[in-house]
Amino acid sequence: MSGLIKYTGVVLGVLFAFIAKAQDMGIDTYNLNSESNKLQGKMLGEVLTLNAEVNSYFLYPDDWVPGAVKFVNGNVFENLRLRYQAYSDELISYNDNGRFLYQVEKELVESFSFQDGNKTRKFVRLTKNNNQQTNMYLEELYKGAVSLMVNWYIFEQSVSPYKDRNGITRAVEYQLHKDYYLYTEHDGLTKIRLNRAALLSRFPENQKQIRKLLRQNGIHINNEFSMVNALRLLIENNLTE
Amino acid sequence: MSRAFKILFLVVMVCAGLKSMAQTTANRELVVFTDRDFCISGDTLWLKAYVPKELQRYGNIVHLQLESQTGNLIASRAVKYNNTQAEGFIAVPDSLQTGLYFVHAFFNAQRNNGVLKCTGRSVYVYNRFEEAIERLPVVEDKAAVVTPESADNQIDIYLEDKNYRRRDEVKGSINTGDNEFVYMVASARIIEPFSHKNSGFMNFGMTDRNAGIPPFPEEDGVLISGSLSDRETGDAANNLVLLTVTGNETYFDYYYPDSTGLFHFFLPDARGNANLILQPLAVGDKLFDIELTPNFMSAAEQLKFDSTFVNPKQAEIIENSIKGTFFNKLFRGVSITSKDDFEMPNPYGMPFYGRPDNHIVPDLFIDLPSFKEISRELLIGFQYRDRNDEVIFRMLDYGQDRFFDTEPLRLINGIPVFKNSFFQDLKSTDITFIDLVKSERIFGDLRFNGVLFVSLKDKSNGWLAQQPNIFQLKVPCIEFPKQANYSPNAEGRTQPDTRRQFLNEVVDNDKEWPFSFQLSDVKGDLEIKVEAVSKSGKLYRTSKIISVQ
Repeated sequence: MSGLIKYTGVVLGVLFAFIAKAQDMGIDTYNLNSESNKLQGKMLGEVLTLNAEVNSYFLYPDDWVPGAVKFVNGNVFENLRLRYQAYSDELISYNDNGRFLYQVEKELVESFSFQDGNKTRKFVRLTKNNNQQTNMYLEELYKGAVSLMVNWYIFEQSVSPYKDRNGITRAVEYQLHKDYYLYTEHDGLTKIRLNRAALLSRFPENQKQIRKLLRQNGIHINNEFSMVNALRLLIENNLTE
Repeated sequence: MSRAFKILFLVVMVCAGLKSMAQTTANRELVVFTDRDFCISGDTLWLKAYVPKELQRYGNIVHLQLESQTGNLIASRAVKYNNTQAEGFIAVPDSLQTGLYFVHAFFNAQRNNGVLKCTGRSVYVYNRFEEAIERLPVVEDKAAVVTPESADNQIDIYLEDKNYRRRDEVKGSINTGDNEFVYMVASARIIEPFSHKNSGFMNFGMTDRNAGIPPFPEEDGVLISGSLSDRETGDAANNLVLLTVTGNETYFDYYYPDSTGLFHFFLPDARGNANLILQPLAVGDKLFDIELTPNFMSAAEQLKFDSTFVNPKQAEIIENSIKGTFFNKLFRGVSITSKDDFEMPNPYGMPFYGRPDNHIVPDLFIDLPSFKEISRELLIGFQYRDRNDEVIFRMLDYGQDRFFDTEPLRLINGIPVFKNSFFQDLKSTDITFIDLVKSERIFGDLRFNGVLFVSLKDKSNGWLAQQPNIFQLKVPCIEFPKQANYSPNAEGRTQPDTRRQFLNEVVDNDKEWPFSFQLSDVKGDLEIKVEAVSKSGKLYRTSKIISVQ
């Protein structure tokens, strides 16, 4: 028994020495394998430690889901495990090899998509809005001459003190909100509500034709799906110019 | 009778099918054109390659290579094609033996296609130090030789005059009528009879002899491959290999080899000759060897050759050509300079460690005599700990509001450094700038507990000699676009002009393509030739030979 303890001690000592040496290199390599060698380019980002608040309220979807990221230089990273951090508007990924979370370098992201149930959600990073530099992720519901985009954000609301699911007393509630925008290269983002009046007011010169077209096609705008259908119809009939 | 008729009909149909297949192979093959049938050792051989649209899925980098009769690689180039054309050159080594050589082209992504077909060219090389050439090899296997169809009816070469003398201006036009060729190259040269008769297009079957190079489609970049081995045992090693490219300080990459020790790096947008620094990451004092694997394809089957006597007239012309090349170099100089130009923009648009939290330019402050003083005075959030003659660096972790408990990634001129002693004697006057990253960064699957980047004013990296396991290698990447200069020397008639090549250009598919060039002092038969690839992939040729008096 004593011998076993000695051997265990020696093995642990050697392992510790190895780890300490490896760390002196300034590079932590963890479990590298052939999957780590992405010839086309590597992922850049910053290691992240999630706190309970972020984990509970700010991440979407509720669990890590498969997704893909496209960089502005054309590099595509597939089969990543992704979640969108709506509070600080960041993309978070989980590295399976190293078993760590990291925040994807936002400046490099062109778009990302992930599986949300049966739906694939695609987010794009907007770099310019009305000639103003910006750096925000927007979900792209429809892409065309006029695109329909959604800005996800977490709204912090003061409420009466309550105990959350972890038993911690809180006086704020976080709610996920969505703002809808029409986007064109020329005009940038214009906020819009999901109803017919808002769509008509966006294209005042074609109101009559748009009304007629929506009526003929039986489209009643009251959600994302109907707004996308309406926009598609407008673009097909050249009523967005 | 009826049965015999049926069999005959079947045979005719099969033959017709085979013929049509043979005619359209060029639609699925790279076709190489050279500006000459022979060259003298030390010359520059200019190449063009037709890249069919069908092959463009394999990437946009074409490898051109010069191979010996025995299948040895002599030289190779990676060029980027535009539309359907790749252009480049091969500097024929000065010491290359007299003989028959072959020019091929391939895409790296075609590696796993089994036997790869290419329509290449054979060229003769005459060693300029060889005193008398009596015998030369010729291809015995006639099936490998591609004889283009005559295009005399489709392409007309029109010349303004009928008789030409030395230094005359040759003017004319190439008329293609209503025939639509997808690619046409016009060239003009003084013929050397032996090579003119015995060189030309060849059918090449190529195969991958460098097992291990992945069939990676090279888009705007080149693949560099090599192998890592233990210096002591010679066995393959699978330690992490780090890559730095000098000239682009903020580029970095890594590869984790498998048990075969093979590693591969893709250098995006790298043009010219790259100076690579490769470092296997080793714990302890283990020493390694690194060897690069040349990216080339070999002939699938060895061709058979015969040896033929060179008659005295042919030998005299070859000798004159060798002398002419010498004079040409003497008076015109070498057209291709072996400059070490290198360009490589950062593919991420930012350093691989992200935007630094601090960027310090020591020249803006008072001069400091050591790195200890620099870190104390200028590097906020960075600790230089000097205990028991051991120097330890620690970086502040902004996110956690504490110092990391391990060393940060340390870089000098972009090269990872694993000994802090290299920093000790650095003075502020030696340093251009210092970048500090105070967070845990990732690059692929690697993690760094902060980054210390020191850019020195001296980029010679002489300090590398003191680090073990560092390999500096010069690697050719994508060739800078260059054009052959066939024009006469500006000095005019006061100097001898011994040019033998006058034209080598792609013909626009207009109905009439005008050309003009000035002849040199060389007498002989001038051939103006158009070689073309038709829409169906068939090779055509037409030429006009005139005597220069």
